[in-house]
Amino acid sequence: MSKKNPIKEAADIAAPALGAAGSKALAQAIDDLAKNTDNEIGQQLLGWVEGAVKTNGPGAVVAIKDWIVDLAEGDKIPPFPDPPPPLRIQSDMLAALQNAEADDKSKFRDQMVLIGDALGSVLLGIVSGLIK
Amino acid sequence: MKYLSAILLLATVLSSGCVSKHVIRDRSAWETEAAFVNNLVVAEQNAISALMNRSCRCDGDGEWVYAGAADQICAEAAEALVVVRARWAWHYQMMLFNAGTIEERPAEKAPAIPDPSSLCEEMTDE
Repeated sequence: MSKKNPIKEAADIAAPALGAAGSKALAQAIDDLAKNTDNEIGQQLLGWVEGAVKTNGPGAVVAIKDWIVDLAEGDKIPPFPDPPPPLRIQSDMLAALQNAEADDKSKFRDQMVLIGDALGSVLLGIVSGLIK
Repeated sequence: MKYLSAILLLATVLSSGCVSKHVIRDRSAWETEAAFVNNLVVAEQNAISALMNRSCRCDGDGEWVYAGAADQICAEAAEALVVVRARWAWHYQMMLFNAGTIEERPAEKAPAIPDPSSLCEEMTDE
């Protein structure tokens, strides 16, 4: 069952013709969604989108609506939208993703070390038992 | 042992129908790709720098000009150049680290990206 999505609703009704009022409403909806998004990278990106709406109006956001919805609700970060955000933002996004992957990798390695230690102890116990 | 094999087989069959969150690549091909992308970025960075040096200047307010007039192409080139110079090496090292090609993780915080006007002096040198 699909849940009600404030961005989709706002973007569906927003249009460049709505001007400042539409931009404000859409920026507010994006801000609310960012606060409720349990995803640090998603929050950063939604912050960029919110800024873009305030600066350029809702037109650009309507164009990348599907991408925003994927970002806000999906389990994964979709590749950059078209048109992409500025290179600085892209770099920040990528840095956050790379750090998250590196953290996971370090965690995985630590877990493997723990498992290796545990297995080593078990093997040592078996070998000791055999020698006796 | 049979029981364990059956579980592993079932897990493989079930997971094969899903879209994986990971990508498995041939190591040699990936490392060659990464090295090529790095060489390409560095070559483009040097080319942008040389072309900017030939054509782009800053006015007294730090705005980019070409032939005496405000120039968007120079401004965009300056922005791209500061991002590449500040961040590419870090992103590249992270790529290699996350792929297991290098052991040492880069600093967690990516380097700060300076303002494009930081290039003004360099591009004004004759």
